[in-house]
Amino acid sequence: MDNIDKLIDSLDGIEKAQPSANFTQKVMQQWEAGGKKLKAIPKRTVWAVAASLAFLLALNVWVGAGYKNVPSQSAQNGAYGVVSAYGLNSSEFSY
Amino acid sequence: MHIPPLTDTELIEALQQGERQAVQQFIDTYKSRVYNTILGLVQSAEDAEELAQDVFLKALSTLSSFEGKAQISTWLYRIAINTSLDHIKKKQRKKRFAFLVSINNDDENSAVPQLPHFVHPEWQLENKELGQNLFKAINQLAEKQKTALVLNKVEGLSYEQTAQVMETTVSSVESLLFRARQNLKKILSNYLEK
Repeated sequence: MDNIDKLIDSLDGIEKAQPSANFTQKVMQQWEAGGKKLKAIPKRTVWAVAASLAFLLALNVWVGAGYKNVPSQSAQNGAYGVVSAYGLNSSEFSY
Repeated sequence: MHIPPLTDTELIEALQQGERQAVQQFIDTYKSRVYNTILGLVQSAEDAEELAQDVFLKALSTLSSFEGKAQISTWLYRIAINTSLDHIKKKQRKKRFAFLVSINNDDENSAVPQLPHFVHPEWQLENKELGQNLFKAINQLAEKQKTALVLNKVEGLSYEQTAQVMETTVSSVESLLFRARQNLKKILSNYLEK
């Protein structure tokens, strides 16, 4: 146990570790650039954004294509337009 | 002509006015204290360099919140400790996630990468392996015990200064250091028996 105590106490005389020689310069540059760290965007993030955009575009095209199949008459003539556009006989419905 | 360094109050005023020379003096004066504290806590030179930069940028951007109640060094130590502890928590979360992925995947290459053994760059004793075991044991201490030990032993702050940085009492620091030593003895006796 004495040895362990000595080992722990050997931390007392330890010199301070120094950062890299150009540390001050690096912080100054970042501070002058508005405090923003100049970091490269990770490739994984780029791919994730690209995949999300592609998915949204595909979804947009798919939904858009679905709307093309809705008869335009329904918009013009309301419920009656829908009934007639789908070839239904209006007499089958009571209003 | 030699310009005498600014006092703490003058330095803060000059920093708040965004004076370039003051910023340089601020970083030069405190960089080794900030870096050394972070290094003791995160135990990676690369991470410590990055985090020390973050600490100075945070400090410079929040100067308006510095009320002057504490010394600049105390305030900086607090930012450095919070930044380091946040970083350690993030790293542990990532490690846990990587572990979960690895147990669901039999591929040997996907095993969780182990960090290289750390020893403080200024470690003077010949036996580096002992130093590595000591820092490995420090890493296993509870957050507060580890912080108190790093501030007092690695950074060389007095009990009073450590208590000020940790916003606690001297007796509580003494108790944290006592428990840290007891725990280190337990952990290290296991290592040394192996």
